[in-house]
Amino acid sequence: MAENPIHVCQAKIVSNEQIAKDTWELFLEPSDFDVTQILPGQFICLQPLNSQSAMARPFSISMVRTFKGIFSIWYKVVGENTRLLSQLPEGQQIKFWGPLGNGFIPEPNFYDEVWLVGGGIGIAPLCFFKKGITEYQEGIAKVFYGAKSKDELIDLQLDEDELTIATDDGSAGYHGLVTGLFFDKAKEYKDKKILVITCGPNKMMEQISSLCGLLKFDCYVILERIMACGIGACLGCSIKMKSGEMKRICHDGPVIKAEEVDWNALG
Amino acid sequence: MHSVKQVDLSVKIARLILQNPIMLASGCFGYGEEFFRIEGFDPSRLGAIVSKGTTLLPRDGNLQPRICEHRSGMVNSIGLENPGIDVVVEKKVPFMAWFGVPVILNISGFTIEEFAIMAKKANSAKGVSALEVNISCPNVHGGRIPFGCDPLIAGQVTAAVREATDLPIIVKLTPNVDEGIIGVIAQAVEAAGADAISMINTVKVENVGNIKIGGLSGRPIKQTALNLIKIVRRFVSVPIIGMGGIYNVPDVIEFLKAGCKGVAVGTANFSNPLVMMELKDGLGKYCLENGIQNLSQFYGAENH
Repeated sequence: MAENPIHVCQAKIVSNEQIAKDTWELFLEPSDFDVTQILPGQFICLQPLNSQSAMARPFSISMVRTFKGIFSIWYKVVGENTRLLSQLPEGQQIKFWGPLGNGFIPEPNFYDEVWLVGGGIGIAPLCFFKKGITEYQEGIAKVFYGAKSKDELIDLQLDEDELTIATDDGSAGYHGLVTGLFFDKAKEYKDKKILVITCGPNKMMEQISSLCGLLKFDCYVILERIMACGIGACLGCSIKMKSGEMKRICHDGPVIKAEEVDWNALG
Repeated sequence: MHSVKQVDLSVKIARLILQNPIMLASGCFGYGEEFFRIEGFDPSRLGAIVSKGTTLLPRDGNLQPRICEHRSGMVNSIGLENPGIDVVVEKKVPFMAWFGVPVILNISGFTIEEFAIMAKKANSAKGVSALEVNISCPNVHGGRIPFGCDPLIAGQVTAAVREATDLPIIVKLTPNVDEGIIGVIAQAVEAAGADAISMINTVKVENVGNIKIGGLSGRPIKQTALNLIKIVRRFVSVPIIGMGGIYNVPDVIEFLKAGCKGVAVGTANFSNPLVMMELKDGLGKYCLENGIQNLSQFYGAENH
């Protein structure tokens, strides 16, 4: 068993603030856990706050601050557990387990550019990739970020040449879907070596990955699925790949090569 | 205050000596490799390890969606995804056996012959301590009605497994039968050679979320489990392993008092991956504080 251990620990809430419409940023300081081991793309499970919930709550890791020993998750308030989470005050302890899933560190030197394409709260794991690529590896990473409207956009604190925004209603940036924005840009770069990492609604990722296939861009998708255990034991998030192989999104994913994914199997 | 210095949590079930009554519920733990990675989860401290439902041939399981929360529990429709008994016996059982506690292999057949073939394969495999026979599977030669819904067929499956193996046999009963018949089903499997009974499997539900037919587990089935266990207790003398919505020490004690010798924990692992460790420690502590020297003091306590 060469796989890394999964830590179950308490973490102190360092901050828990609203950063966009229905969207919050939670910084956690784990008691007994080295945050430097977390890879971009990995996630944690929070113990459900609602005592009547049966399943673990998975959240992508958005940011790691190594020197402070803290990390953050960005979450959207969609149900009872996230509503309770948004009410937790600074200083409170919360139980989580992780790091989970198969994050990875891209090799930007192998590519002309790395493109990170996020839709809605799917932007959450991509910030961690962005930081890793530009700060630690001096590669070029550009973010394409789509949301329904301006008030749902999280301020990514990126320069104009690193970030392109699309909103469905045109209230900020490109008027339309982020896929449209991506298509326009991709055509200009069709002879370049581009790595694309995308996370968001399945329909969006499917379109991005099919264009990447045509343009011979390498593409990874970060998939989401309801999970019961988050560690690969229950098989609740297992899906069949094009090859026929079964993959557990929580354990063999969530980062999966786009060409492997059978989008119909995601239901 | 009846204080005691030592508590003996060990129990004897189906010819196996378990160091404590806390077992895994099949299907919630895979074949152990994943929970083994959880720091603080030590499988060697459990009473027994129970494998995921294993079939004769490899299975991909059902399409998504496979799980959803429902009434403080969860519904699953995994569809027995597993690599098949040959791979399980060769690659998974040796890992499970490494922890030094009994390994119970859950076998799920679709025909009586399949059960018998699997029992034979397990019999010659190293590391399997007992079989748990899942008779909730649809019987393809019997109109896809689960084996466990008919006393005669449940008995036939048990007899076929008994014939094929010397290993202890635990038959897992389905709750999806009439209360009036479950005792007879239990008697039939006991008469056919079952060394123990485990119950209950998940409770059938329809059209929950996007799941057409699934099995409900967790808190909402606890009372059903206890009611059915108390009925079965009156019909058989073999030990019962109880399961269904066990989350804390009072739940464990409730099942022991209802007449269970062992208890299994499933859904509770998902919202707290260390729950089984906590239950094992908590049960020991409870007994120490309450002057209980061994668990036989609980069995059938409600009947006295």
